[in-house]
Amino acid sequence: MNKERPFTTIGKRVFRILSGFELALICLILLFLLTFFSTVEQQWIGLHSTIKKYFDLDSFFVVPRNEHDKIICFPLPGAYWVMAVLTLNMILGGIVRMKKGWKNAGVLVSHFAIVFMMIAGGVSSLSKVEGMMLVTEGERSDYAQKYHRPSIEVFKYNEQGERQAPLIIKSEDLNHLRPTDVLRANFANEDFHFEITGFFKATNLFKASNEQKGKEDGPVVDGFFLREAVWNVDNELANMAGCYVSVRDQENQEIEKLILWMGNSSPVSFSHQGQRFGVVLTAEIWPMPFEVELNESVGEYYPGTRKASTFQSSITKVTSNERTDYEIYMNHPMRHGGYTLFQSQWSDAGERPYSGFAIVTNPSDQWPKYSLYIATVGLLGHFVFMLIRFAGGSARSKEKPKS
Amino acid sequence: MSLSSSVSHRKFRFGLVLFFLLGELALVVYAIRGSVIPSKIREVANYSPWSKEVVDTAAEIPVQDGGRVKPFSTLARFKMLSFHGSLKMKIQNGSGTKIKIGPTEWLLDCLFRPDTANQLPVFRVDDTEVLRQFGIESIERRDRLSYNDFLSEDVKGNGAREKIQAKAQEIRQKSQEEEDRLSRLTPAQKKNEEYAKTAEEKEQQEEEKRANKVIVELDQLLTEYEYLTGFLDFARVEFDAPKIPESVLGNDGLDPERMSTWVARFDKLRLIFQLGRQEGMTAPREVVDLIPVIERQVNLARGGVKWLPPRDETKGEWWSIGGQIISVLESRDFDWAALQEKTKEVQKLREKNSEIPEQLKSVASWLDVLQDMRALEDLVIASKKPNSEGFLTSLDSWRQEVTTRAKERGEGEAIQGETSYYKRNYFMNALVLFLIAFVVSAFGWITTEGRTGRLMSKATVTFFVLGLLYLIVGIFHRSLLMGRPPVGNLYDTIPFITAGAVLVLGISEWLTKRRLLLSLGSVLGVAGMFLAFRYEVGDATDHMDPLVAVLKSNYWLATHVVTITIGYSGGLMACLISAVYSHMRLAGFWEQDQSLRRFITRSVYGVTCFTLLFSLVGTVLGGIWANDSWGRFWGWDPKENGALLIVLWCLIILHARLAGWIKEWGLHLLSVLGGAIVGWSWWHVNMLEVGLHSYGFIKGGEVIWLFYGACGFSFLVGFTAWWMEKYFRKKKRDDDSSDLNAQT
Repeated sequence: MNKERPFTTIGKRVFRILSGFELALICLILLFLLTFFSTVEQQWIGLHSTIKKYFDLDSFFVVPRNEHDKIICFPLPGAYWVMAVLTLNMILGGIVRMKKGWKNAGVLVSHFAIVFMMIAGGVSSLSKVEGMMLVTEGERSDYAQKYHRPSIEVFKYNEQGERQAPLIIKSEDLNHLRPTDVLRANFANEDFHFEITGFFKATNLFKASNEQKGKEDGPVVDGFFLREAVWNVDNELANMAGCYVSVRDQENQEIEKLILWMGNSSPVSFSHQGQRFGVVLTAEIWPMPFEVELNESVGEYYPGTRKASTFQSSITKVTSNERTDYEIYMNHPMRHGGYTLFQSQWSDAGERPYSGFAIVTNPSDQWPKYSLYIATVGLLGHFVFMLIRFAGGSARSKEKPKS
Repeated sequence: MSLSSSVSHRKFRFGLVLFFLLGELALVVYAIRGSVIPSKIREVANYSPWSKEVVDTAAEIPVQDGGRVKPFSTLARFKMLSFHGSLKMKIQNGSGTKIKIGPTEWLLDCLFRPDTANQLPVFRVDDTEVLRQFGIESIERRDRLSYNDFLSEDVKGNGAREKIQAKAQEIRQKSQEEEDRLSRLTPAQKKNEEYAKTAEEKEQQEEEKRANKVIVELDQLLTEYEYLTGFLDFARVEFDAPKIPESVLGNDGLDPERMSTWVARFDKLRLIFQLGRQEGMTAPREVVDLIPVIERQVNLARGGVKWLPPRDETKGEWWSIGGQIISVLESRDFDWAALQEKTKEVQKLREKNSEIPEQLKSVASWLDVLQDMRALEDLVIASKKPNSEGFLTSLDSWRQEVTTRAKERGEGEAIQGETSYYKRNYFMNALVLFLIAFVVSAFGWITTEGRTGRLMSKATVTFFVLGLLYLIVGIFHRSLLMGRPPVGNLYDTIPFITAGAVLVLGISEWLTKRRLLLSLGSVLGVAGMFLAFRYEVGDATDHMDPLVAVLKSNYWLATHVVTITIGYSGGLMACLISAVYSHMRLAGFWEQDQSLRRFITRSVYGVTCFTLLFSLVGTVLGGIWANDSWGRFWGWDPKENGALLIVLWCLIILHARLAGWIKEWGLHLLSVLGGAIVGWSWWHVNMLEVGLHSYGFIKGGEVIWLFYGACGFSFLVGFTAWWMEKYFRKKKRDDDSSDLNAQT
């Protein structure tokens, strides 16, 4: 480190701390520990839960635990905030405070690139939306369903038995519910409300006649009851949320008790004042600004094995004024208007094959690529410079006589 | 410090180094001990080895396995590894001659001499204690048993094989029931159940689980073996040929002693059987007896080796005889009643070289399978004289037949290349050359001066370069055969990482002429090649098999995978250099000459920078690939985190040095720990079996603990040396000051 002027004022002292190597090292060590423990813990609680625990914006402190829920390390600050501090440190210390010159040019450029990448990560974590669109060959779809976002849809049936536009209780309201919480959900223009209880993120639905009901299980409704399930770590999308809904009128009298389970895609119904309503607990619907028509869905395995060789979909993207054909296959997504569609699932189990497209919208989608180019140039320049110095230094020191 | 105390100080240091080296050796011995099976040569009285010509001919027969067409010898290699855990089987025949049986010879035995194969000690069992319950006794805990060992019967006449099968079935069923039960528990109930178990119960449960695993895996191997040895049984089986009048069968000129004849006449047998039933009569006894024999043989012939390329090019999967018979019989348009008539039609069309219409394709396939069946019968009959000219000719015609058919389908073009790849044994040769280079370089360290020193130096360079060439050519050859960049799976990374590290050390030696780096490169070469060998043996999987869909991108394999692997290589290199530095400094080297010491430190710093560059670029490239494949740049998946940990560790080292938190010792100690982090990222995260990189998951892989142990030892060595130097420096200062006080 270069000799620097002493920092006298409080502001300068704060600047010195925030831009110092010490803070950088503390952040790097903390990030190292957080990354390590989060990796180890994934085996026991799964990826989604680990990300929520370690890397979420609202995770300020983390206590790493082992498979038996025993604490294995002292509490650590949340990784999101460590990264935020590290980014600030890098801006102040690695860019603003750093001595400018050819000798440090490579490092300076690399710091800039990493800051850019960290910002890309921050933007992504705040604004990225992910979901899945399932389309059967020969059919169309204009919506996806968001991952890990259960929502309740309530809709009226018209006289022909068709569903009307739904009222939605959003995942933001449901996801933070604990099993003992009661959520009251009111609907504009309707004179009934819901009381949601017994919400679990992972449940099994049992038929009361087939399974002995335990005292921790939910009440029996229409011959069924819910039981909390152990979180499926290997396939987190297979975890099915479930809850009970008490439909109540303005006098808070129960009209109907419903049991909702994500594994059941058919709505349960109730009637109020002669109007029939349907209710379904489902992954939050995400309407797309275009339709996807699946023309052909192909999946191949290597001969004599169940090892996937290729999954490919020929689709037509349909908007109000144009139709465009695309081929989507592994490592070759379709990008359109900020949306990216990836071939994620394929099955020919039904009458016709279907494709599952993972859909992502992320404003910082391509930023890491740009930052990589910048960082490579910076690091390469710096290390080549160092290598030349090293080789030169080594040759010189060998020429010197032994002391 | 007085002369005598200096000498005792040096002795103490040497003693410490020796102590640590012995500790490291003990660690290696302990690790290897677990995988060694006592060498016990089994006698197989009537065994006669296959001739070289037969083995060479068989080696090049194309077969389909693991989703690709490969040589018979490659299939044999990995089958033998999975059964036997080694590529050599040692036996002695009745006259006491010791014989080494290789994979191709062993598979030939399974196919053509199953009775002999059944006597060979092929099944590696790591815990023979488990087999006591089935009446199988073995003196050694780890042993190799023959199939015949599993045929021993108890007093009730129940064979061990049947008991193992029944037990495995019971285990599978119980495990399914337990899984169902657990899926019904709430998290609280599951936790309570866990807490309620005593340590003893847990241990017992673990032990039971381990024993069950041994039984189930053994049952799977036995079943696979039965298919391997039984799939040509149709050509060997002895049966009473029904004596049905020619008026019923027609004069087809077929040999009634062959199974293919009765499969060909199956339509007539079926008719006889059905007519008999319709008329309220029983079918002739011989027909009734023959039908289940045919069914059993067809069923057995479903497994084994898939070496029949379908003539229909739209079909990707190669056949086994039984599979093809069943597939034809199950096809919707196969019409027994009109078989004879349609056969004639197909024959006419083939004579005219005309295309076979869709409705006749199943009959055409039927005729093809009969033809293949007869060819295999000829082969099996010829094999009764195993090393005769007749068998060699039959085997060679079969090889030509399969090769031609494969070529017509555009398959099997790399067969000869692959057999030659394995024959050249690049990596084992590289291991030997690196070992010689190391030994010579070690002598070179003793005799540094004069003609002998120069000779040693030249010899080291020669062996080192030859070893490196073998390694690089091996990687290239492999890459050409696979038609993809050199790294696509965990096995591929081992030679690549080794080559990268050895090459960099070689170039550094060439630039700096310090003699040390060549020795280190040789050690790394030996270690890398040994690991490649052990991993191949332990995993028993053909790593040239095609990659899963998500990895099928030569662009990303050539950029991300190669870059990240070079990063691993750098981290391991830095670790090794620092480990050697720690040992040498503890032994008191460089007390006089500090320049080499400083050179090593600068090398480690340089290699850490190298590791950072490649790991960072590789990690970000991986993120970009993930963004194209899975829709997210970063997902905190174990494999991604592992790569990030290396980057973070390098950054910690470099920034700590810049900040003055660490100096020379700190750099080396952290660099040794960095090696363990690379090991974790490269190897261990695959054992966690979680995340999106499921194609890379591995079972076992406990060798990593040996590596952690080695890193731990090196860290301890470095730490001891640092502490001792600090202690002796202080002592010297104190002594000097007391001397000064005494003088004044």
